[in-house]
Amino acid sequence: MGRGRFLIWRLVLLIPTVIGLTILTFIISRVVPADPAKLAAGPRATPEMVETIREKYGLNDSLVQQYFDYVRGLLHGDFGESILTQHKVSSDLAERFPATLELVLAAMFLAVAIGVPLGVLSAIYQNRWPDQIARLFAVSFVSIPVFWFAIILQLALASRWGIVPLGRRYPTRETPPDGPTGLFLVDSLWHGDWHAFLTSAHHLILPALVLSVAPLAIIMRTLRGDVLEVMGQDFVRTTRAKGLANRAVIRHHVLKNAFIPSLTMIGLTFGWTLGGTVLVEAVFDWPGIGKYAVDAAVRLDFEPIMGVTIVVGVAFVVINLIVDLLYGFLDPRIEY
Amino acid sequence: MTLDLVSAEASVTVAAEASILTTGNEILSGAGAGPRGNTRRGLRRFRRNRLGMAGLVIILALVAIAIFAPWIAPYPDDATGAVHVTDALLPPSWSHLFGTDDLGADVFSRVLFGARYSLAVGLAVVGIAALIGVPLGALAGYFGGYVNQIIMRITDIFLTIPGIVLALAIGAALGPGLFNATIALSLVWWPGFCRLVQGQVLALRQQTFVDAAHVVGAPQGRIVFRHILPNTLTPVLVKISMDIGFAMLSAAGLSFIGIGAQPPTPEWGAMVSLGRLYMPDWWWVATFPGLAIFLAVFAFNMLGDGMRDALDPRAQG
Repeated sequence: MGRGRFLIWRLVLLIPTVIGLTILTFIISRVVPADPAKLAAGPRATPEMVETIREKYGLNDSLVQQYFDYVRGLLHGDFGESILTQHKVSSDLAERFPATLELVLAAMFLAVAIGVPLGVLSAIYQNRWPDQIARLFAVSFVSIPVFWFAIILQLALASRWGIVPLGRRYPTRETPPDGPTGLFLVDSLWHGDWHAFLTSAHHLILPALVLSVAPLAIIMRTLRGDVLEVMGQDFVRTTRAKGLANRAVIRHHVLKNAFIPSLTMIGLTFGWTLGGTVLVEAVFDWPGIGKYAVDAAVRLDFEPIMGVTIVVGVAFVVINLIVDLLYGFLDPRIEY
Repeated sequence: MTLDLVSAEASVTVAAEASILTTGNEILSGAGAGPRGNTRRGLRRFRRNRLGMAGLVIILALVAIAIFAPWIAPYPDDATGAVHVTDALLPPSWSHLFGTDDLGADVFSRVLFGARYSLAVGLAVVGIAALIGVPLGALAGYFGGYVNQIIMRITDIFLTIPGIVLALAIGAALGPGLFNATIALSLVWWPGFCRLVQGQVLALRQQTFVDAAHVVGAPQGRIVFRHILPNTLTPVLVKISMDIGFAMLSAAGLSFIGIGAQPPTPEWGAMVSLGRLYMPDWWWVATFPGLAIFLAVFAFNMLGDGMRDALDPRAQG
């Protein structure tokens, strides 16, 4: 199969996945709750409001009919309304998604930029002290409650020493960069506005660092294992036998081969990081979809939570698609 | 979720290697008797693993604290929401090791009682998840074909949404509370076990010793329960150990958001959530419960790591 046909095939395979996703979210919002209408209407709804929602959802219809209406709504961008603000969930999500995307991308960048060298180093010094320390950190990092770590660092770095802002994406008294992507770092560069770029980066660094800690540890551990495995293979012995220096062996032969299996893990940690934003954004008052979900959860505002669930699910599916495509790009041996 | 990832990584290596190891033994010592010899050798190796042993000791201490909390805690009434307004927000001292919270309750006593909730939730989530996931995975792996397709596609759908987000949605649908959060997390957790066991069983099914069992005319049920499932025990046990920690972490996260345990329940995540309001001046209210979460999760991770190294020495840690 050629590359183009693989791409099309992979896109076709997205359809059952996304259908499965909508069935799951449908079951959660319409089948799991004791009274879906009451749940969607919120804790302070009058009986009339509940009745309006029951009418709107057609909750007296058959489940199959309800599912098709539900999907038709989603396809028209109808994710329901927030009971608190009466805003459409779809427009709330569109407004907040870039903030989450920027945070997740920054965190993944840090996780790869720090995790990959540490993983390689750990493998090269297998069982010696740099390896022991790196592994201890890795186990610690996946064991830290991320929300607590966020609070502690916020306390130390922002409240006490004032090195970074307490939270938010941009100072409230200034106008944030406006641009095509909604990612402040990209948009400020787009306009060549260095002040905006530095201000955004200053706000971004701490939340991104906190969020990167667990994926960093996982990437490090995976890469360490993969590097060790490749280093034990015959072709590496051959390169050594023909007299290549250790550094050259690792740089030119081991890394490329070890990185390919680790790529899958990096894709998976992306999903974890997307989930982690829920906890981290809440602490840093980051105006993304994670904080949106938490604010909704506190007030039992159900529809925004389901909206976030669908968006995060679809985002994860897309990331896995990209990883699959990268796979083929990096490893010419893969036949589609 | 967090955390499937780490164990997923572990299990991939374990999957390939464990089967080869135990298979050799099965053949040498007669079918069915193999895993036991391995277990004994593994136990000996585990005892020499210092970090694994440290993890085990911390866990045993946590279990003891959970059981004996009413007798150990200096102010047991404070765990159930006693209010001493005059003692509010006292810093750590000899009479209040971890200080007091906004209601004047002793944080140390509440942290001790918190071990009960975290351990119970961690065990319940992973137990239920294993009870659902292991049989489903075994069915899918052994029978293959349509059974496999149906089970694994459902598993895949659950894995399209990051665990904490899915648990948040299910938890919100069920209504807040620690019991509902436990149900929500269990429903999110089983696919990991299903996938692990399915892969294992799929690989084991093609091994010579299973063919041999077929040839001598062993019934299918006997092959699955006596020959195949015991060989998946090692990776499942390692995953259970690590996942208990990660389940505790996720449950604390849900409580922090407000979907799990509700105040005044002395659950660690809920305590961090409340304590956050008193940062930075009254730092102890949120700091100590968070440290407790970290210590517990860390201990289960070390135990899982140690078990993997001991039971499956060929896997890279």
